[in-house]
Order: sequence, then structure tokens, then C-alpha cells
Amino acid sequence: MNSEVSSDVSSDRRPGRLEQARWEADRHAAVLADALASWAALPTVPDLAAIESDKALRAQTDQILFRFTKLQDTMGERLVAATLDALAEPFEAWPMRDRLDRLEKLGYLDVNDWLVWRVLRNRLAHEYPEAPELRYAQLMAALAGATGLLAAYRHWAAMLPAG
Amino acid sequence: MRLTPQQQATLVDAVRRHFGATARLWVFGSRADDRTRGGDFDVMVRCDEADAVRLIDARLALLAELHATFDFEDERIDLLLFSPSLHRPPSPIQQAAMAQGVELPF
Repeated sequence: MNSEVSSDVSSDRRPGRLEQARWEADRHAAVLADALASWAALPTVPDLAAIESDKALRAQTDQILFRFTKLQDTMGERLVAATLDALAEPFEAWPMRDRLDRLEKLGYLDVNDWLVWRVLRNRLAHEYPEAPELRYAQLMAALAGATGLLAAYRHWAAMLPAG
Repeated sequence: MRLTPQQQATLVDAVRRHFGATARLWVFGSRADDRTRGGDFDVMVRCDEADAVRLIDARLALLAELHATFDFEDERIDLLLFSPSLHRPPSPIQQAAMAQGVELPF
């Protein structure tokens, strides 16, 4: 599942793995935090038409959704393995679900929240021909998911062992 | 239709719980076609709920729950919603899903 996992299946810690994953996630988290703060400072946007007809609002929501996707991908593809690696967990042969369950048990994340964010993220890959009210509600759910994911990443990062 | 009996049962049970007993459920697209292989799960749910936020919340909870099951763990599921009070008339893809899809009875 992870392009980092090459022929090296040793369970020895890989120097820099966690630092690299965290550096990447931090970058996405910082931009996401700025974009969410700008969005929160705006008056409430009443419907989808108000967003789709306004270039700046479209760009702002796109920025949030893009960084939401990138932060989630970085966490899923890099930080999960890097964290378990740093904790000396024998995770290399575990399927993703077992890795997530282990991290939940250690207090790093809530698996159900993670699955909801996965659904939101996958939904962003396509536009669906649904009613505008539904598309607006879906967008609002994704923005709320972005806020939730950012908080979850901050919690996770605060728990990480020093590099 | 290319869903295992267990997948059908899991899907029906989850849709009924999240969208209510009066909802209806269709599988359409490649999974409704016995001649193809693999592919995403295209699902359509029709229900009378008029509140878009509740519909979206129900879909999110349903999909997260399905992805937590063995039956759908790593599968891609596209779930379209149709509510008569929000869609007048149904879009072409919704019409096609209801007309050509395979309905899974509750």
C-alpha cells in the first residue's frame, strides 16, 4: 500500500522517515489552516450557486478541498507507517485496517472519523449530477471534514515521539 | 448481478437503517451486468427525505460503515441519492439507474 515499502522489509527504524512524513503533513496542514481561517471569516454562503458564481469563493473552497485531500493522503500513505515505525511496532505485514486500529488503540486517531474522511475525500474525485441542495450539503460536509482532519492531525502530531 | 449474497444483505441492512424502511435501493452500472468483471459498486437510493443535510449525513455514515465491513472494505462505492422533493424531474442517470438497475428489495 505504500510506495515507501520497497524491498526493505526489515523492522528496523528508518532514519528520517517520520520527520519526512511530518514535514510533508505540516506543510499541507499549515495551508489548510490558513484557508479554513479565511473561509471562517467570510459571511455564511447560502447555497451552491453563490459559490459557483464567485471566482474567489470557488478558489477558496478548492484550496481547502485540495489540502484536505493532500493532508489525508500524506497521513494515510506516509504518516501511518512512519508513526508505527517510530513506535517500533511490527506493522510491515499488517493490512491498513490493522494499522489504523493499532493507532486508535494508542490514542492517535479515531478510526470511524478516519473512514468518514476517506468517504468525503473519495467523493471529491468526481462531480455527481445530484440536486444543488445535495451538492451544497456535500461540500459543507467536506469543509467540516477538513476542519476535523486538521484537528486530528494536530492531536496526532502532538503525540509523536521527538525525532 | 455481481454482488455476493452477503454483500447484498449487508447493503440492504445498512440502507434500511440509514435511510428508513420506505427507501428503495438499486444496483446499476457494471455490477448489475453479469457479463463484466470487477468494477465499482454503483448504487442508487431513493427516499422521501427532503432535508439535504440529513441525506448527506446518512450517506456519509452509511458509506463509512460499509467500508468498515469485510464485504466492502477496499471497494469503491458510488452512491447516488434521489429524493423526489429535491429532484424534479430525476436526472438522466437517476432515471437510468431506476429503470435499468437491479432493485434489491428490503
